[in-house]
Parts: sequence; C-alpha cells; structure tokens
Amino acid sequence: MTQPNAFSAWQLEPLELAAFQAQNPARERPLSVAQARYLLSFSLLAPSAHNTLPQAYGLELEQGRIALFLRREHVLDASDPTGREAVISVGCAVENLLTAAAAYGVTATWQPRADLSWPELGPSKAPDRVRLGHVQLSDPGTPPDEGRRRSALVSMLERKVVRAEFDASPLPRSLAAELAAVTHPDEAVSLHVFETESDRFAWGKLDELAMKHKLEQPNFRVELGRWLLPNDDDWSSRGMRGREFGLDDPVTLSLSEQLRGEAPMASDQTAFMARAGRIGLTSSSAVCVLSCLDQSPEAAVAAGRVYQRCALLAWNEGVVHAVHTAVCKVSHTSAMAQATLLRGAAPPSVIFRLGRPRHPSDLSRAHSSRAALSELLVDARGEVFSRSHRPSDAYSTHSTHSTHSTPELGQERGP
Amino acid sequence: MFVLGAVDTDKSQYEWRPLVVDAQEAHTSGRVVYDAAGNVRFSHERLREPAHISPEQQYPCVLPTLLALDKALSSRSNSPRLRSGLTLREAFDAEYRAYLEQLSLVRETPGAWEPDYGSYVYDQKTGDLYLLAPELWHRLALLSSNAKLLTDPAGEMTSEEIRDKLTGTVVGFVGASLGSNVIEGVVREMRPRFAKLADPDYLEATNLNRLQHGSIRYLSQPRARRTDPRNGYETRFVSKVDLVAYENHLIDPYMDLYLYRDGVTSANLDRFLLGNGQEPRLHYVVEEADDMRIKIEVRRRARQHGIPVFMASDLGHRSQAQMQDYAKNPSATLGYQIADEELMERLERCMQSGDRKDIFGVARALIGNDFAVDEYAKWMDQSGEQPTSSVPQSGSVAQLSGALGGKLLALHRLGHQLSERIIIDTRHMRMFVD
Repeated sequence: MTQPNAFSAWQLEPLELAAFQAQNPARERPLSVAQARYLLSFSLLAPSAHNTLPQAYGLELEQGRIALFLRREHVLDASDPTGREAVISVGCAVENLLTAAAAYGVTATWQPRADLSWPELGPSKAPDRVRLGHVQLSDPGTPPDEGRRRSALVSMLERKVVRAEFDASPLPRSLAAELAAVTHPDEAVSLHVFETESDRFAWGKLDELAMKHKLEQPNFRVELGRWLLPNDDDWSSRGMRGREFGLDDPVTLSLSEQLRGEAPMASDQTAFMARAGRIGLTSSSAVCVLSCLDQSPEAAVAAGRVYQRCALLAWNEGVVHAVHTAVCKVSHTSAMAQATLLRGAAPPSVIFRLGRPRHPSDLSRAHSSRAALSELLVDARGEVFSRSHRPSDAYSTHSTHSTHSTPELGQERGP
Repeated sequence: MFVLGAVDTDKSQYEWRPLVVDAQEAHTSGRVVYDAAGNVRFSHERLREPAHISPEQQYPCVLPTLLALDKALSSRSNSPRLRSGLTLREAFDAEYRAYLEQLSLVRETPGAWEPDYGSYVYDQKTGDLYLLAPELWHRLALLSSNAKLLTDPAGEMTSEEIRDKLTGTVVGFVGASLGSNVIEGVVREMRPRFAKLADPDYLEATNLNRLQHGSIRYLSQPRARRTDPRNGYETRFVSKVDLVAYENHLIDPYMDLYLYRDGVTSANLDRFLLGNGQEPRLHYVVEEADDMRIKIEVRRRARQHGIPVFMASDLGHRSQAQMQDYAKNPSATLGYQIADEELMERLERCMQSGDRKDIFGVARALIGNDFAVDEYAKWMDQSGEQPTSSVPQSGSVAQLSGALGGKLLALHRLGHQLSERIIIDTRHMRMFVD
C-alpha cells in the first residue's frame, strides 16, 4: 500500500479573499465546512512538542465555533507527564487558527473551557480526548489588504523551527519592539527577552544542566529515541527526523538506537548532546522566556499562543527560532531560573531562542511532518476520522517502549 | 545576573579588585586615618562609604617582604648590575636603610602608625587591609628565587633586561579552567605586569581538581547576595576569571588583569588580541577554551595579527604543549599538521552533528593523534567503568601542563626556539618532541 506523504500539508496554496468567500456563498454561518477545513490547514502547521500534534478539531459550525481538543494518547509519557507541553502545543494551533481567520476578516476569539484541571490532561495509553475550549466565530470584520493577508498566511506556511547554531548577531530592534508588545492584556503570560552575552550564556548553562539531567533518565532517552525518526521516513505524520537537527542518516539511526537502549551509548554522549543545547542558546540573538502568571491550563494555552505569535513575528523579520524546554521540565533548574534570571517572576513555561542560522543553508532544512487534517478532525461522537501514523511505526520491529521510571533528584515540575 | 558582579567598560576593574593606594598619598589625603586604637578609616572613590578596619584585619607586610629580600639578595660581586650603575644589592640596601629609618621615626612620633612607604591594598571582598612594599620590591620578592635560571639563548642579557622583557610580556588566556594552571605557570615564571583573562563560565565543584586557587570559597556567592536569603534555589555562582584574578591580585596587587567575563567572542576578539587605548596588545595568546569554534577562531585571528598561540592539554596521563608561532611563521596552519580546510570541515561536521566521533575528529586536527593511549583510550572506547560523562582530566597533569606553559612561554619570549609540540607521558615517564 502506498503510504501518504507526511509533508504535503506545507504545499497549501493561500487563497485570495474572493476565492475564500466563494466557499461560503450562503453566508448563513460565519464559516462553511470548506472554509473551516481550509483555516484548520493552517492551524495544523503550528509546532508541537516532539512534533506530537496532540490536538484535534471539532467542527461545531452550527454553533458558530470550532472546538479544540487535547488527544491524551499523544501526550508524551516521559517528557511531558503532566500534559503541560501538549497543552502549550494546542495553544500554538489555536494561534495559527486565529491568525488564518483574521487574514480573511473572520472574527474569531478563543474561549477556554473554564473548568479545566491538570489531572485530566496527562498522558493516556488509550485514545482519549479532552476539550480545551473553542474558537468562537462571529460576524465578519474588515479583512486586511491582500498584501497583509498573504504575508500572514505565507509566514505560517514558511515558518519552521531551526535547531541549528545561530550567528549571535544582535536582535533586530524592530523585532525587539514588536516582542515588547506581543502579549495581550487579557493573557496571563509575560515575555522576558534576554539579549546580553552573559544572560544567554547563563540560560545555556542552565539548559545544559537540565538537559543532561533529563538525558540520564532512561525513560526520557527511550522516548526521545523513538521520536527521532530516520530521515527517509516519509510517511510518519508525527515525530522528528534527524535532518531537522542537522543529523545525517547514519548519525540519526545510530543516535536513535543508542537513545532507545538498543546500542551502546558512550557515557559522555549525553553530555555532548546537552552541550549542543548550550551552544544553541549562546549563539542566539536572544533567549526568550514565557512565564505563565498562573499555573492553570488556560494560561498554558495562552503561553502557546504567545510563543507562536513570537515565532511568526520573528519569521517575518527573517529571524528563526528553536525551543529549549529542558529547564522547564526539571523542577530544580526551573526554580533556579525563576530565582535568578527571572528575578522572582513566575517560573518559565516556554523557552526559545531567536536568531539567524550561522550557515544560511540551515534555513533550507525540511519542515517537520504533519498529519492530514482528516486525522485531526473528530466527529460529533468524538471519534477521530482516520488513523494516525505514529513514530512507533518507524521502529515497529523494536517496540521496547520503556515504562521504567527512574527516581530523579529534581522531580518533574508540576503543572 | 546569574554570576554577580558589575561589568566595567574598563576591563581591569572588577568587583573584588583590591584597591591600591600609595601610602604617602593615603596619609596626606586622609584616605587612611588611624584612630588611637589603631582602627583605620579607609576612603576610596570605588567605595560607597569609608571602610572601618580593625587591627584584626590589618596586615603590615612591608618589613616581612624586605626581610625576605635581605636574606635572598647577594652582595657578592656578581650581584646584578642595574642601569643606574648600582648593583641590585646596593639598590636594595639603600631602600632598606631608608625604610628602617622611617620605621624608627614613626615609633618615636606620637599618633603615627606607619611610615609614608609602600602601598595600602584594600581587599574589597574580605575587608582586609594590607600594607605592601613598593611595586619594584614587592614584585622582585615574588620572583627573586627564580634567580637567573631564565636567560636568552646567548646568555647576553642582564638580569634587569630579562626582568624588563618578561615583565613587559602581555599574555592573554582564553579559558580559565586548565588555563588557570598556565596562568599560574606564567606568573610564577615571568611575573608579567599585564595579562588578560577570558572565560564566560563559572566555577563548578568538579573544576576543583584542576582549577588553580579554586576552593569552597568560590562555589557560591554569599547568601546575602540572594534576593531572598532563604531561597535555596537562588544560587549565584562565581565567575572563574573573577576568582583567578582575585587570587592573583592577592599575590601581586600591582598587576593589571583585564577580565573578559563573557569570554572572547567574534565581537571582542580583536580587542582582546590587539588592545585599545586602555589595554595593551598581546604578545601571546594561550588558548584553553572548550568551545571548539572559539578555539579555531582565536587561532585564525591570532595568525592574522601575527600573535603566537600556545595551548597546553591534559590528555589522560599525558601533558601536551603546542606552540604555533604566527609571528615567525604567518602561514603556519591553524591545526596540527593538517590543512586549514580539513580542520574547518571537521569543525562544521562536529558542530552539526554533536556526535562524539566528530568531536574527536576536531580534537585530532588540533592536537594530533597521539592521545588515545592507556586509560584515556579506554575512556574513548568506553571500555570498563566510566564514572563520568565528561572528558576525564587528571588534576596533576593539568598542573604539569600549566608548568610547561609557564616555562615554555618564558623561554620563547627570551628567544629560545620551541618545538611545535611536546608531550610528557607521566605514566611511562617518556617525552616526545616533534
């Protein structure tokens, strides 16, 4: 059987306003099904932790809304035991959906579910979806001009995470100014931007400590190894190819094997991997940290939204980004960051770096894969329409998913 | 903010730098005022308010220094002849006599505590106050035991000429971990007046097997530096260059050390190498960085500016010293017996993959292929027990590397020819010279 290509989502061609409006001739509802599916095609381009794509969409167009769900079976056991990163990932998808809607003058607002709690958002072995909220659609507003529309849509289509060494050039002042105003008053999220050499180095050191700590945990390693896919895997809709990290085929396969515990790993390889994160952060133009002012799931969605907004703003300025989550995952490094670099502000929820790749060729690294939209749609009963291709498929002959949990000095951060 | 301390545009200033004030000026201006009980009120523009120093924290070091010189310096006919025409011993005797006279006078003068002689040195970190001999004699005491072991190849330079040459040598150190050992070797052997230190990192407990002057005193800043004194996570570290500079200043407070607390970067590397209105140009750069890209960039720019690069490495039981004399040979390669293109290719491969075999590839390009022996080879092959996930480093071999650095740089500065690479194998008691 021919496997579906997992990268075709990026081939989307932005519609002109008239063509978009033509998909809803009756105008009885803010969006037709075709329009909603089209906008969701942009939403699913948003980044997610380990490229897990943990979101699902419910078309509730008769009520004038699109529901967003968290699929708990796509929450990472070892890396994300509380589901926090997955919820942040859904926030990214929400932001793309709102951005795409705004590009066509569709008024859309995010309405979080009020009674969400963390215990219902952690990993699940069985398929299970949790509604996080919905995007409420209302009467059309004024659409932006064609140039702005196209720019907004193209930035979502082109944006990518570039996990490469950057060139440490200064952050463009225009971008710094935009970042200073990136959060909305109703969002319980604050953005801290660190540009000095010493601050970037300090974040790099903390990330190195946290990443090394995580990499010494067998279950984390195994999970990472399973999500690190061969470069020639064209069909898995989830997971990260080695090439996205700049790894060639032999290194990708070897590293994945080592992480999964199926080949010997040198005692210092984890230190080298952790050091790579430090190099990434110190080579950046700025380290950006998002702190949630409260620890609710709603705030985590907001953090995802702000992160994606920053990523799109940066892309428009020719600046790329990469995420470094290790400090957020380890309680003691998170507390250290909070007490020192963040000067007592709320703990870090998302840490990412901005900059330009040292080697321009790194800009041409391939996008990560995406599921077909049909895989992410749920029907009225909450059933997913079609099967997902998971990274476990790539290593199906080595199904050694570890459930072993190692006691750690710094326990996983609570949500 | 992770590592405390203000960053000055004048890189010779740092939070702990001891304050040096001429004693005569201090007494005349009222910077140093003794009360009847011997407590000192010390004023300085770098202090927010005057320091009050009890006798418990005052260390009069002049007489001990001059006593040591009296014991050490020879009055025989082969005492070094100075440009003034006096022998070193004669010059010392005149100084010593004058000081002792002043000391007697002070004893007989009510309310006087110290003669107008030497320099007060105020330790901002501890609040201690030292009174030192003048720069010439203090610095002479620091290396008089080296006698005339270091000479030019022809043996024609006088002690004073040699001293001037070595004192005036400016060495820049990139990396202060193993590098601290080379710094130690250089200051003990050459006692330069100026040096530059660059390292963005802070001291970690695991550095203490090899970092000169590292101690528990520097594992953390004091609790008082915390915003919340009870918050145990608020760890404030100590910059390696701060502690190395401070400890060196407690030996020679007259020395000017320029601290690059962000390390060297492509933006500040030329200033580091060439100086500016405030800082001198380097005669040598000692490259001990752990950042691969910086290692090579330092070499590239040093070659461009004709500045020799020295590197000492601790490789298991082997200490390896290398010198690329770009002043003498501007076309010398960046790596060790390997084309620059191949080195750069390996560097980029390593930076891209982060794979340990590629890291070893760069290491081989920089230091050669002779390190994979004995227990070090077992670590590379990961055979047997491997307790750490860092590169193994022997503390004593780090010291040996520093000693090699000090000696070889001093010899080279005086005109001796050095081999490109020297390896001392402590396990098998062998030496290899290329």
